[in-house]
Amino acid sequence: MNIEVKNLNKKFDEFALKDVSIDIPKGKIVGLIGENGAGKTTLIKCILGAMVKDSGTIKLFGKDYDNLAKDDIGVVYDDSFMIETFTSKDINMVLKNMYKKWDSKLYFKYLKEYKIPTKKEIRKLSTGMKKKLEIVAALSHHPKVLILDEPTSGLDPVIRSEVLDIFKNFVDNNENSILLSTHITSDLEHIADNVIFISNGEIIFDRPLKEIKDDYIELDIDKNNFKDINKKDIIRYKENRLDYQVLVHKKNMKKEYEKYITHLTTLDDIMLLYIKGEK
Amino acid sequence: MKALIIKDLLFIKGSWKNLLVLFIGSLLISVALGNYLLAMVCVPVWLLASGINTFQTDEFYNTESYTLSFPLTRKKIVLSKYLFSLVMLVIATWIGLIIYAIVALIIRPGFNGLNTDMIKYLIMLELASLIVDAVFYPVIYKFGCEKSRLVLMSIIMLLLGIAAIISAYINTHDIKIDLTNFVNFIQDNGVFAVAGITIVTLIISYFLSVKFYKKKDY
Repeated sequence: MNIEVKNLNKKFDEFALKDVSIDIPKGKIVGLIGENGAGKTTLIKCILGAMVKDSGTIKLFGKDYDNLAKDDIGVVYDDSFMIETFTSKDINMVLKNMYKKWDSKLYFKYLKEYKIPTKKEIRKLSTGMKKKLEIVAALSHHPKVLILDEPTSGLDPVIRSEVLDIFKNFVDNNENSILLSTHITSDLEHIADNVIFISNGEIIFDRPLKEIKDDYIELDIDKNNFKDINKKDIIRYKENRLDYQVLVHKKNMKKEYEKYITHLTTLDDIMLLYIKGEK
Repeated sequence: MKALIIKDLLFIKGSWKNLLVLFIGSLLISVALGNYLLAMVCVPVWLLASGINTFQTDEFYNTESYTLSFPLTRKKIVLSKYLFSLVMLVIATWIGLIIYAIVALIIRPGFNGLNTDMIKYLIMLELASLIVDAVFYPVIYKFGCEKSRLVLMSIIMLLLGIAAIISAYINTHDIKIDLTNFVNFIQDNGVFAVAGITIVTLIISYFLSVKFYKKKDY
C-alpha cells in the first residue's frame, strides 16, 4: 500500500470525519466522490498534514507518518495555490529547493510539451494553463503518489482528456498511485480502479469500480408500479414528479423488474440516490 | 526550508516598483528637510515589515495548505518565517548603507552625516522593526492575518490607555521623573539594549508561533 488510513477522526463544530479507513494501493487510481461538504477535502488535508487529525493512524509507504515521506507525494488542490505574481520559472526556483528529487529538466520538458509559458506571470495564464502548471509541478519531483483535489474542474473537455491521459500514464508502472477527488464522476468512470464514496464524513463504500458497476442497477418506475418492487430489494429510492428512481443490487434483480431498466447506472446516479434518496 | 525563504524573497522581489517609489519619495522629503535619516531608514524598515506581508500573501493565495504538503515539519515552516526576517535584516542593512552612500557621494557630496550615530539609528530602527515582526508573528499564527490586526489594535489601545492613566497620575501627583540617565543609557548602549530585547522577543515569539501553528488547520 502507498497510503493507509485507519479509523481517522476529525471533528469540527458542525461536521466530523467519522472512523474513516481507506487504502491507496500501488498501481491504482482511487476516486474519491461525495457531495460538497462530505469530507473529501478534509480527508485529503488530514493525509497531507494541512489539518491535524483528532485520532486514527495514517501510514505513508508502509511506514508511520513522517513529513519527510511527503517528498514522494505530488499535490494539486482545487483552488490555485500558487502566488500569482510568480512565473513558472519562479516555481522551479522554489520547488527545486524543496524536493530532493526535483527534476528541473523534466519540469521544463513538461512546460514545453503543454505549451506553458515560462516567463509569463501565473495570473496572466488561462485557467487550463494554471491547472496544467499545477499538475506539472506535482509531477516533476518523481512522486510515487499523486493526491489531487478537483484537478479537472474548470477545464474544457480537450484539456481534461489530456490531463486524464497524464494520470493514466502515471500509474502505468504499477508502483505509483493516485487519490483523485472529483465531482466530475464521468472522469472516474474512464480512469479509476477503485472508488471511495464519502457522505457526511462517513465512508459509504470503498470498492473497485468494476464491482460497483456490476453490483448496482437503477430502475425508473412510474408511481403506479412502485408497489411492484419488493421493499427488501431497494437500497435507496427517490420520488420524482412522475416516477421513482430506485437503486437495487443486481443480485436482487427479478425478472419482473427488467422492464424498468432504462439506462446504465452511473456513479452520479448511485451518489445521487445514496444522498438524496430514502431507505 | 530554504525553498520557503526563496518563495518569500521572490514575492518581495515582485514589489520592487513600490520600493522604488518609496525610496524616491523618502529621498525627496529628506532633501526638503535636509535630514537624510528618513531616506536611509524608510526602505529598510519597509523591507523588514514585509515579513508580515508574506503572511497576508500566503493567506490570500491559500498557500499554507500547499506548504504543509511539503516534506517539512511544522516547526521548520515556522522557523523559515523567522529566518526570512533575519535575511531581510541583512539585506535591509546593506540597502540602508547603500542609500547612505548614494546620498553622501552623489546627491550631497561632502555630506558628513555618516557618523556612528546615523548607523546606530539605522540599526536600532531595524531591530525595532524585527520586534514588531516578533510580536505580530505568533498573533498571526493564532488568529490569522485579518483577526490579528484587530487583536494588535486592541493591545495597542490598551497600552495607550495604561500610559494615559500613568501620565495623568504623574501629573496630578506632581511626580518628577528624571529621564536623563535613561536617555544617556540609550545613547551609549541603545543598540546593544535593543539587540538584546530583539533576541529575547524573537525567541519567545518563535516558541509561541510553533505552539499555535502545531494545532492550526488550513
